[in-house]
Amino acid sequence: MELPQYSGDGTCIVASVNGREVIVSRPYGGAYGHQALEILTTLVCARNADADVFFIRPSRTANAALFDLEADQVRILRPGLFQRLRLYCKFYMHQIKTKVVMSFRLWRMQARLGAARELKFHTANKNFSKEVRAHLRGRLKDLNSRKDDPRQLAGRNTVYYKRLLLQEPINTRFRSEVHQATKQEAESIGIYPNMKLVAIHARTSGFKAGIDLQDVGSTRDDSLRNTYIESYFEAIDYLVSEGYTVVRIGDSSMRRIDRTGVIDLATSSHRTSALEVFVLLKSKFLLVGDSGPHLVSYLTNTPLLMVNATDPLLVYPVRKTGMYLLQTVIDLDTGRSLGLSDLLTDDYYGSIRSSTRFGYRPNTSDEIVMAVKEMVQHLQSPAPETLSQTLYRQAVLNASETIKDKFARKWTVDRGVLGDGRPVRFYADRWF
Amino acid sequence: MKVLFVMLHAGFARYYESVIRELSSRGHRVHIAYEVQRKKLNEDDSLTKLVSTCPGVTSGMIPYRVENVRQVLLRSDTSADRSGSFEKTKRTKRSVQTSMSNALSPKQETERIFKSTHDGIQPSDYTVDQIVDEDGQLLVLGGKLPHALSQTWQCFGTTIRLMQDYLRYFDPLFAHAFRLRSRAEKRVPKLLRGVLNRFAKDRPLISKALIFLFAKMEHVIPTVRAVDMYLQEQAPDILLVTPLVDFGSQQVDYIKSARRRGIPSIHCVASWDNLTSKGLMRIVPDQVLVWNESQKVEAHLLHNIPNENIVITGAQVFDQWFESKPVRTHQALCQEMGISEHKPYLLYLGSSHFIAPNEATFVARWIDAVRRSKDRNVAECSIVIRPHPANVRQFRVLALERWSNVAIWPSLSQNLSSESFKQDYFDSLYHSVGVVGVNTSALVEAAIVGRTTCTIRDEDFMHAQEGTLHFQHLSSNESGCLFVADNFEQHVTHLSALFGNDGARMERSQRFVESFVRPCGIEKKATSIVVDTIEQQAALNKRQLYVESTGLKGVRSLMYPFAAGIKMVAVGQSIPTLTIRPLVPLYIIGVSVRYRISEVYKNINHFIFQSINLSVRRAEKNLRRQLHRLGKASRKKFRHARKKSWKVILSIAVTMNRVIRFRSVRKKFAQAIFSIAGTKNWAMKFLRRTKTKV
Repeated sequence: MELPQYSGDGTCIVASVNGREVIVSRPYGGAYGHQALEILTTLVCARNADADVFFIRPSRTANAALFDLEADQVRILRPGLFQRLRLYCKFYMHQIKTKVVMSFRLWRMQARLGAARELKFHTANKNFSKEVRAHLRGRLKDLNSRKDDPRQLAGRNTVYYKRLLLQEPINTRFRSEVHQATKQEAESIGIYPNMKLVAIHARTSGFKAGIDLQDVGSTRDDSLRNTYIESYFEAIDYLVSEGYTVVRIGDSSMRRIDRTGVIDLATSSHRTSALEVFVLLKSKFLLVGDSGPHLVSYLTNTPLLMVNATDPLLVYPVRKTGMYLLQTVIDLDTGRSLGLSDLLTDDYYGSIRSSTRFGYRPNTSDEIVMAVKEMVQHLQSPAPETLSQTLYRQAVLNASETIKDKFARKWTVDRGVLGDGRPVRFYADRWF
Repeated sequence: MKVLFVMLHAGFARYYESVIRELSSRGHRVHIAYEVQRKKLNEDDSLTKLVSTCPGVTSGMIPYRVENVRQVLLRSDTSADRSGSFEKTKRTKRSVQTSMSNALSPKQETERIFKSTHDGIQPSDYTVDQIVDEDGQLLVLGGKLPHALSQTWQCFGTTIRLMQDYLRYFDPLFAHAFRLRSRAEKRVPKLLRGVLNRFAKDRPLISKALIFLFAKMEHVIPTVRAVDMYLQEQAPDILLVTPLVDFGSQQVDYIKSARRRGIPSIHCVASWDNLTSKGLMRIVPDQVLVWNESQKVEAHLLHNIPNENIVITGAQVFDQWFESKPVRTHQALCQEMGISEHKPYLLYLGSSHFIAPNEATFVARWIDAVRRSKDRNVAECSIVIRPHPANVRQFRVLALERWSNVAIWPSLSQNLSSESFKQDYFDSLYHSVGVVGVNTSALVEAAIVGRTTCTIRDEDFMHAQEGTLHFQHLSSNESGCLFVADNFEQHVTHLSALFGNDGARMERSQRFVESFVRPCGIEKKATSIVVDTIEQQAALNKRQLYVESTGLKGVRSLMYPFAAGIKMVAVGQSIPTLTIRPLVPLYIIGVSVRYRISEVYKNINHFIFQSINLSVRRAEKNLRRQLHRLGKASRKKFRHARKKSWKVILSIAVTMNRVIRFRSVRKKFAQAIFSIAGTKNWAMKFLRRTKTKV
């Protein structure tokens, strides 16, 4: 059985309940997008293997309501106490065993590295005889010849998500009791079933309290993924004029917006995790920046329009209903704005989102409006890809073959598949 | 009077340029010693210019230390660099040491260091020979003290200073200063960081107790020999130190050494944020020069400096702006800046990268907000953006073509060392209708020039506005000069008022300047007050030389294992690595012993073999000799015996010859004898005696 791969402390095992295989999974709950993607890939793997799924909730979850989802083709087990205890025991015994083994390996590697460092220092000490130094050099060579990658030791790869698993959607919905309760909550804030909803999310610095998490040793400044809700206002007005109701999702640290036709769920006192997922499930599409919630849309099967993207490859929409639009990237040394061919190079990926190397000019209100109009049209009557969109995708796909080996992280082109999404037409027209 | 001015880097000379010039003009000698060389904003050039134009002013690097703050920081977090440029590669202490010990001799290494550090700077009097002793031993680590011992104390000192600087941000006063806290946290060695977070975070009492404990430990740490020697060589009448409060600053060693040698010391607080956004002072200097009453309170409450040691001087760095006059008209300046000369302009003053890492995007939003204003004066006014000199590059992101009448001035390729730089800046302030910024000293300068200053609280700058204490000096309703808006709408109303010639606003700026910049009187130059204070302090009799008590030395000896332990932990390795470290030398000892034993065994073998070989050869020789002798004797004896036997045979034969009666028989007997014996002597004798003829 193909098992999904996880990030952070997420992991899974295969158990058996009443003669059926069950994937016992604990997704990583530290990041919203990761959590959603790991739930989704687990469901897809279970569907492919005709297995059931049992989710263990991590102690910290970005959105606990994602565990209340049901899937059409996969049975998500919610067993009784005894069965649950059995699965928990099995899972945690496996966890402990893996942890012990991994810790031992990791410690051994650290000790080896420590010893190598010490030996390197002492091999240069001329107080030792030639023979001793030669011996130490030999030992050092032995130690250095064993190349352990800490991530491999911890059972992790740089690339862990598989795009192919996401291509074919899996229908998800809330459990009936949660659905009823959430529906009532939604109605209390003015979200009714007959409404045409569009969810909007703009990542702001308040979410991370001004300190963005950085990958260790990386120069990436993730605050460059932040966007400003003001630049969405014209697009919001357009959507409202088209009869949509815009629901702004996010967290309470965001600045409240008061605008006709907008329900600010993010700062609302009624905001719950379930309500946010409910909005995503009901939305016609999600207008989002380069942030975690765009991955949740794959789980909730919400068409995606990503604006202000910074990475042409990583966030390329996987499904046909997805579109994206990149920010203008400026080379801070020369002041030149980078073209597509510049973005698909080692030079760019080597310093992507480095605030000292590149500047990011967010999409203007006009650009966002154009993108939204295209998305609305696309959803109403899907149009085939234009030549420029096809060429754009081909260019990204071609470049990804060379880029992925060096710079790919999280996910990349999977067995030649980049995704069925497309760039916004006017953006693709810029380059082709 | 000779003044030794110790600075972190040459850039600090900018804050005290007027003071140094004044000291020089009063006939004093000033030596500017800086810890870190950096080319940022052409600071080195500025210092070189200052040195070349002021008689009696010299500059140079301070003595090099192997265990300096940078090494400690490199071990804990490479991204947490200290001010100044250095290689951001992962280099461990060991590799640094190895490279030093392997590549060059101490003398060569010293020469290398001094060549590199004095490149392009007027050479100091501190020469290579003076820091290398007769044996070629590098003295930069503290001369008499053994290398490892001194290194341990220095590393320990830096580590506990970094910990103190982190602990201070656990004070509820810094509850919103998460960015400052995170900056301090990055600098603490990983393992200790974890310990502090576990036991002291959100526990002000524990953190305060630890700060107190570390402060006491600071007194136990010995002075650095190299610093002692440097002060002895420079022999200043007074020591000035700035900024002293940098994270893990080693400048405290200068204060300690000065105290030990009886030299009066002054800490010059360089900027308005120094006492609240960096580290602690640790050792109380003889005097602390602060700008104003607010800083006095900060020095007293946050750094435990007694009030009698604090002197309010005003902000000498801003003196130049009180005397400046514009050299251009509004029209001429607008033409130069490329904006409409018939409209007033708003000036946006950029902040540093730490304060505003993504400022260009904010500026774009700000311009949009201004242009959307319902007040035509605001919506149609010109806008000039002046980025912070150290944060210029990001403004390349701004697409100015989106708006009319907006300019970035000076251009992004500005020359910071140009003569006109300050004058251009002053002119742009002077002719502006109002000034907007996030949180920068330029807002103070704008207030001095009499311009109203405004800002917006934005979530992007939460860390830099609500998250810093020094912002409160500007934003305070009672004494501040800033008009702070909570959103762009409110801000635009503030801007509208700027065009309405509001006298009350001007008064507010003036009040702020009087209390914050020149608290000793608006007409009194802060530079003169600072120089007077330095002269007075230096004129006082030198302090008594500080002699360490035996008790202190005892405590130091007892504390050494603890310091060594902290040093080990400060290396920032994981537990397995730490565990393996002492084992590796044991292994090496084992290998050495094994080789030694095998060597000894070989020697013994060799010795035994040689001995036996020799003995055998001797014995063989003896034997041969003995055999030879024996053979010789035997042969002799044999010959003797044979002789004797032949004699006997002869006598028998002679007797028998006599006995034989018959002549014929006798003859035949003689012939038989002769045939047996041949021509042998005894046969001849027999023939002669028996007179027989054969």
